[in-house]
Amino acid sequence: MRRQLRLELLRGTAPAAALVMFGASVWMLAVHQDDWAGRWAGLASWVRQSMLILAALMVAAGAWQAGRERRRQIGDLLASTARPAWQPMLVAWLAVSLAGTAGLLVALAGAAVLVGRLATYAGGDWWWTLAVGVLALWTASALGVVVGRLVPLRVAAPIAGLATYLGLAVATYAPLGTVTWLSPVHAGWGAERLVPAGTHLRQAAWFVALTALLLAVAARRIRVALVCGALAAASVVPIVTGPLPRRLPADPAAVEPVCTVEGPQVCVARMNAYLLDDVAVVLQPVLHRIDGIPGVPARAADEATAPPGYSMIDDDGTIWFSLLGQSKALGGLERLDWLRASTDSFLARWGCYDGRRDEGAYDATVLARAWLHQEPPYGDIPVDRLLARPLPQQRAWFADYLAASRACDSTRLSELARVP
Amino acid sequence: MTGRLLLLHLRARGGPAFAAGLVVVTALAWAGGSWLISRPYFDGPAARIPVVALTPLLGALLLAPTLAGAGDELERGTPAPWRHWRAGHVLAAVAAIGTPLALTGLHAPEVFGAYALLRNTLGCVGLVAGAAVLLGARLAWLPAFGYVCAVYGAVPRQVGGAAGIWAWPVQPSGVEASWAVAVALFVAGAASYLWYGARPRFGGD
Repeated sequence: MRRQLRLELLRGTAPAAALVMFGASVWMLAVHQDDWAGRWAGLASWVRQSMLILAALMVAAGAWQAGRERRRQIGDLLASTARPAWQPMLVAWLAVSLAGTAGLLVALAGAAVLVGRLATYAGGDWWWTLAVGVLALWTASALGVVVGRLVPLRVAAPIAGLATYLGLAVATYAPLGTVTWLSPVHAGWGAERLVPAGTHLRQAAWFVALTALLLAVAARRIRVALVCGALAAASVVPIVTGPLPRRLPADPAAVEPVCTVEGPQVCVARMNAYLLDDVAVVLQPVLHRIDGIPGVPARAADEATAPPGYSMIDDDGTIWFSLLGQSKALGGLERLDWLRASTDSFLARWGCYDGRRDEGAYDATVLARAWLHQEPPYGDIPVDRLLARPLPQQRAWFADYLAASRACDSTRLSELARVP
Repeated sequence: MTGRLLLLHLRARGGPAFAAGLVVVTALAWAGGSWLISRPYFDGPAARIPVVALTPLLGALLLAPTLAGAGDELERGTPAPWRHWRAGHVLAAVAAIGTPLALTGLHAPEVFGAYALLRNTLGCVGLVAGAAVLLGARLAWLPAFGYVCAVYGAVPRQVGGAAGIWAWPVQPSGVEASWAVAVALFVAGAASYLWYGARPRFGGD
């Protein structure tokens, strides 16, 4: 068996499967950096989100491997050997599964080096998410083996891969329910969310039972298939009667606030702490400029640190910002403009909008935003005139702007837009 | 005589299986597109991007095995105008894949509807035909499958510009560059196929 496995690993579909899985993983890691950069739990969650593609590829690889006997027309030759037909099939499946997993893990090892440089939180049982994902890949290759052995079509492998993709995608689009746990794909909830350990175990049991069922069907071992089918059905019951994937609890240690020690307070969740300096560079100057103006926010905080059910619309003296989609693999923020837009949110909260466009109010708001971020002058916005004044006068202008905005005083806002 | 030859050609190239597969793909495109449009949490007809990216690819994958017969050398030895037959084969295949798929996207055909389905059919068929020349009919599906899946997996946010060229299968139909790439792929793939035919098969794969 070992010799057979070595031969399959070296000369079967396995090397191609490893290469394709490595290439696909690297590509998906490169184009979705913001999902995993700097967070171990994010990396594990990325694997499960990418199952949409990776599982489809494993199905295609399994189908290609299992269709080999038909393509080479050596079915009769193999049937004439003393070894039971299921043994070479099992070895071939094992080889493809090992190779595909190795391809993914090599790519993940590269990503892990990048995550390790930045990560500020390593908890959250993220490795369970990863391990169950690997099990799901083995199930996918077993499904491919079934397709490859039962469907006598030359393009069975790519079509099986695309059909798997579509099936998993439809399951992702459907509303979240307990049945969602039967799919290997995670719907992309935040990296701070904790999947209960029991759910991981139930999913693992489901994937193992399903793999055994698929391999028994591929080997045409009816009795074994019936037993495995019963086990698979039994493993479904605790999943569909278990907890819903909606409203997963946040990991309290991951969302614990980590704040700046100097200057205006800026806080991020512990899992995002590697971004604190980058965020502070953008937000502290804004907080400093509005410091002392009555009623304006005095601190800024990551939305992940907000208590469950907390309304961030309320005027609570905090600028709330989101760091979703902000991480880069080598550190730093992806979209500074998104972060700046978050700081503008309190202006919108205090604004007055009755459905009609008021040019004066609009110009004053644009000027207020330009002043907050010390933007260079553009168009008719006289931000340079405002910035040329002493800071106390600038703050007085901003306080007037906020008061007029709250009072919906468009005449005053028009005057302020001209920087009297 | 030509009619009988045509029937023989279609049978030898797996025409019935291709047609049956196309019926399934068309039904999938129609059902998938209608379902996506009807979801209140998606943005209407523009939500059909999975259908637009993947169903023309499925159609082109089904075309791949039909691009060569069981005996390549035997076929080439017959005194038939093979270039004409190959040209007819590819053009008929584009019409056979593109027309029913475009019909499924007629409801709000712009953005990700009938036009984009037609564009992607051209591009995918071109990729498959060109790959048949380089890799043979058995592996002709591979480049189109890999490329479209990679682009789709990348979920490019940019519309037009460089993405209009490299991510043509997932661009809205209004992006002219995506049409230019798809048409260029079709012309190059179809021309090389009708000129050289599928790469002959030597032994197994």
